[in-house]
This record gives sequence, structure tokens and C-alpha cells, in this order.
Amino acid sequence: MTQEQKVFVVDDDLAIRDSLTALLQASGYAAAAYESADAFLAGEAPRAAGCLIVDVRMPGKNGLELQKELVGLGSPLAVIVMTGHADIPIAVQAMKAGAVDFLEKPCEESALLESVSRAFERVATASRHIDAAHAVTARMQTLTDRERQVLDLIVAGRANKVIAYELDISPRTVEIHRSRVMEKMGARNLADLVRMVLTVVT
Amino acid sequence: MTSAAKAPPDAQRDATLFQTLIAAAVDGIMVIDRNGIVQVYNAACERLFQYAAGEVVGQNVKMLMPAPYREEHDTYLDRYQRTGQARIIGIGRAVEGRRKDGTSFPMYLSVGSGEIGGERVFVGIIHDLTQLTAERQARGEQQAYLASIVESSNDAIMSKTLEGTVTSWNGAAEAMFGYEAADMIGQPISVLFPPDRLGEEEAIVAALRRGEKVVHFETLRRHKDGTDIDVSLTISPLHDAAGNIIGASKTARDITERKAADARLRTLQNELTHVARLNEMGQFSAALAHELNQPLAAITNYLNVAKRLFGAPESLEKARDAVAKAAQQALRAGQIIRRMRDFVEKRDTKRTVEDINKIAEDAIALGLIGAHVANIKLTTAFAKRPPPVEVDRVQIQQVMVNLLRNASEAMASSPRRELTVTTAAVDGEAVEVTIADTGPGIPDHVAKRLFEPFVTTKSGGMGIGLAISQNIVEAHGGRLVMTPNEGGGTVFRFRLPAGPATE
Repeated sequence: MTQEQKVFVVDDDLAIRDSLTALLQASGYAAAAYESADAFLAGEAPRAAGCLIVDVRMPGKNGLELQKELVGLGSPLAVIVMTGHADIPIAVQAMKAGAVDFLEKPCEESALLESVSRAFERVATASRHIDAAHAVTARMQTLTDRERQVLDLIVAGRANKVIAYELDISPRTVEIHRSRVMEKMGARNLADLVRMVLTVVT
Repeated sequence: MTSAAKAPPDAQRDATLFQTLIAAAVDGIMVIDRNGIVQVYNAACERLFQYAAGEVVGQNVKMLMPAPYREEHDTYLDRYQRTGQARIIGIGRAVEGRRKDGTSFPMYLSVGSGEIGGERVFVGIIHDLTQLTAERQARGEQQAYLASIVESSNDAIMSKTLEGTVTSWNGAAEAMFGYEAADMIGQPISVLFPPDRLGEEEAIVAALRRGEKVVHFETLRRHKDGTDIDVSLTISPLHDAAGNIIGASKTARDITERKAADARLRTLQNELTHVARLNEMGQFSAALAHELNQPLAAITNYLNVAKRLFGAPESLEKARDAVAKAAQQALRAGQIIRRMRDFVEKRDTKRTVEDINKIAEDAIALGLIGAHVANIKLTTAFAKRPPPVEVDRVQIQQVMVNLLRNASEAMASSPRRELTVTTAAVDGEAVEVTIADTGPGIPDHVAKRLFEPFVTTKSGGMGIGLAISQNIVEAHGGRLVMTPNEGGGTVFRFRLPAGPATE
């Protein structure tokens, strides 16, 4: 592991917090535990890129409420929901809200660790997406106003002649702007350029 | 008066006295000679036999006798004169007389014999028995009537002396105990007692001697075939005319069937109570599963940690620590299961001496599983050293679990969720348990029917919880009552009489 992956545990039961953090640490993760949703939300953890294991039944805010709140905050955390008594409506609700997995206590070590590793894959994918988007945005900022206009029309699917007409410039000039855009954006071809721009816009 | 003065004073007085005596006597007076011919026949005789004196005097007395006395009379007189053997003379007996119209009537005839002028005569005094006989007959009918009531009764009716000798024994007694009246009369009543019940007779006789009745005394008596019968006895003293207690009348009712029905009813009630407990547990099975899975999950985690750490000698200490923690969690799971097992177990009612606080603690542990998740704040105020109660522990626990579950469910959507459980000693004679919530309270139309079965406001409920709880509390000599909580919500309260001291 190149850098330590951090797992957060939120459960009102002391024995669960203690045993789960011990197991995660023994499996090579960094772990931190909180006894309530509010205690967790009060710290920096919600903004961290990591994995959260949360119990459904808790006094105060329950696990599903915490999950919903994290989605609202745009938290990058991948959430695993755990409960001592699974029922289908709760599981469906958790998965719809974007949970990586829904586990019933007690669960097998392998199931738990697989879920955690899947959570980190998602975190990694998400962060790659974020990195790529950041790069595209940075490159787009190097374009001139005219180049930006040309890019928007290319992505909108206009032909060079149409772009020349709409911008009231010669097709030759459009071609020059277009090759400058491809160069600045680092796009190998048109499809590559479109995909890049779409990751930023969506 | 002048003529009377002329007569010899004594003879005349005797004659007058004789005449008055004969005429005024209420009983008939007759004199007959040795051949049975009537010499004297007084006015009372005229009334009794309807014959005038003139019709009878000089005739044989037989005319006043119905058959068979009439035919026997000559023989009788004859025998007496020959042998001196008297069947009536000097004694008297009840016989029948014959009236002029041919009808007969009962009479008591006493006959004496004497002599007049050397001739033997017989003097008969006749006492009319018509009324007495009628009364006696009526009394006899009454007795026969009563006897037939006794005889036809379905209850065994017996009488005995104070020493325990049977003096009467009706048909139902024969059927119930298998002994014929002839077998039992004169025998000791103790043959009906199973050996371990012989002591009862002493207490019964003591009560009888004090003039007391023993009413609906339920016990066992033994049939001739050796089987024991459940009976309800009522025993009353019998008095003689002077008011002395001379024995007892005893009625026995066979209550075997009633006892069996009672037992069946008890079994059914027990089963219903058990079903209610299962239902109660069913209502919070999700919370219970969660509660039980917490320690199991912790155990799993700890042991998985240990499994990893045992591989590395430097982390053995940590591994041991994880195993020890797993063991603690296993105990925690075991305790939850133990409480639950007691509660759901099918069992017979059993009263033991208990501490109400201990029952309340267990009920809270079980009834409020998952309640912390619902953000319910529990406050307990337990009496210091409350008097012990003799109760069915599980049933009282059941009542409290029911009330605690109702209270927590009622408060689920209330802004204030405070649950207060109080135990208190009441004058050292009872303990009172109070469970107060801050829920929305119970609407009047529900409150009226609150303790009726199958009345429920809960979608998943059977509506038997409170009805059963009331049943249980009443069987313990208490009463479950509901009052509104002053600050909003509901208070349930019940008392249990203090039981025998533990020492």
C-alpha cells in the first residue's frame, strides 16, 4: 500500500467499535471510531477520501440519516452500511443512496474486507476522475476566448464551415484555432477532446 | 232438695257422683258382663258409636266392633275366663270401633275387670284416636317425603354419630362411594378416608362439638374400589330434642369433573399467557436480533484479529487480549439469551418469594431492548429494601415488559421521551409498581375498553397484552390501573400484596 488507507467506524456499541478497529488495523488499514453520527460529523473526517462503516440502529441520527447527510455535503467517503438485523427496505434504501455494500452483523472477515477493498477501489476511481477533471479544467483555462468559442461549437457537433459562418470568420481561421485547441488540450483526436470536455461539464 | 235430704246421704252422693262421672267423661265408658252383654254405655259412647244407649245396652258388645275383632271377641272372653290369659285386660291397646253407619274409627281401648254382686264385669274406657292417627299419618307422609328427597338427591347424604359411626346412607352415597347402605350403617365413617386425610376427622368433630358447620370443605375421599374422589363436604351438627349435639349430617358432592374443568381452564390460561409472552417477544424480535448480534459481531471481529496476530510472536499479547474480549462478549450474548429464554419458556405457574426490584431490573433489561436507539430516557426510582412478594416472577416480569413496550412505542413520535419506573413499599403491606411515560396519552374511547382483549391501536398487535396483564395482576391479588400522566402521557400502576418474609 503506497499510502495508508483510512477506515472510519461509527457505532454506538463500544465492543463493536473496539473490535472492528482492531480487525481493520490488523488488516493494514488506519481506523478511527466514533460513537455517534454527530461526533463523526463534527470532525474533518467527512471531507476525507476514505471508507466509512456505519451502523443503522443508533441513538440520535441513525446510519441512513448520516449517509444521506454525507451525500448532501458532497463527501468523497465510500459508505458501508452495517446492521445487527437486516431488513430489505433498509438495505434498498442504503444501496439507493449509494452505499458500497450492506452487511449484516456478525459477518465474515472476508466479506468485510472485500467490501472495504471495494470501497477503496471506488474511492480511487473517483479520485482518478477528479484528477482528470481538474487537469481538463486547467487546460481549458489556457484557451483564448476565441479558442473557447471554437471548442464549445466543436463539442456541440458543428462542422468547420458552420463554425466559420457562426463566428463570421474564414474556414481557414477555424482550422488554425481548432489545431491550437487540440494541441493545448492534449487531445489525440476529436473523440478524445469531446470525452474530456464532457467529464468537466457533467 | 227435700227428697234428696230424705235419702241416706252417702249412698245418694255416691250415686250422683257415679252418674256425673259417667255422663261427663269425654272418653267412652262401657261396662259389659262376662258374656259380653253391655250393661253401661255412656254419653261419650253415644257420640263415638252413633248408637243411642237404648240400642246397645242389653246387646252383645260385638256390634261395636268391625271385623276381625268381632269374630275374635267371644274366643277372647272365653279364653280369658278359662285361662286368665289377658291380651288387653289390665293393659289396653289400639283397636278399631264400628259406628252405626258401618264405618270404623281408631280408638284406644283399655279394659279393667271387676265384680258386681259376685259377677265378673269388664269396664272399658274408649279414647278416640281419629285425630291423633290423622296427625301421625300426616307426619309419616312428611317423613316419607323428606326421605324420598334425601334418597333421590344427587349429593351423597349421610349421618353419623359424634364417634363417627354411620347412621344413615342415601342412594347417592352408595353410587358415589360404592358401599351399600347395609354395608355402611353401623360402620365407622373413617373407611372413606384416604390414610393421609384421617387427621381431618378430628378437626371436623371439634367444629361440630362447638356447634359449627363445616361448609364446602374440599378434600379427597376413597371409593370402595380404592380410587380417590374429589369431594366438597358440608357437615352440620345434629341435635336431639334437648339441644344436645348427637351427631352430624354430611353431604358430599363429587367435584372430580369440576376439578378437571378447573385444571383445563388453568392450563388454557397458562397457554394464553405464554402465547402473550411469545407475542410480546415477537413484537421486538428485530431489536432483539440486533442486540444479540452486537456481541456476536464483536466476538467474530476479536477472534479474527487474534487469528492474524497469533502468527507473529511479538503480537501474542494483543492476540490474547482480543480473545479475552471475545469471551466477555460471549457472556454478554449468553445473558441476553438467558433472560429471553426464561421469558419465552412454556411453564406452569409457580409462586416464589421475590424482590420486586430484581424483577423490575430484569423486565427493564428485556422490555427496553433497543429503547436507547429510540432515544428514550429511562429514570428508575426503586424502594430501598421493599417487602418481599410471593409471586410468579416470569408473569410479573411479563406485565412490566408489556407496560414498558407499550410506553416506549407510545412515545416513538413524541418530542419528550421520558420513561419513569418506580417501586414503592405501601405501609409494609404491599409494593406498588408505577410506569409513567410522556407519550400522547390514551384517548377516552380506548381507555374505556383498555383491558378488554383484542382491543388494540397497534397495527402488529394482537390486543391481548393488557388483558393478560390485568389477569395476571388480579390473580396476584392486585389490580392494574391507568391514569393520565400530569404533564401528558400515561401512568400504569399496580400493587402486589407483600408475601411471607424471607427469613
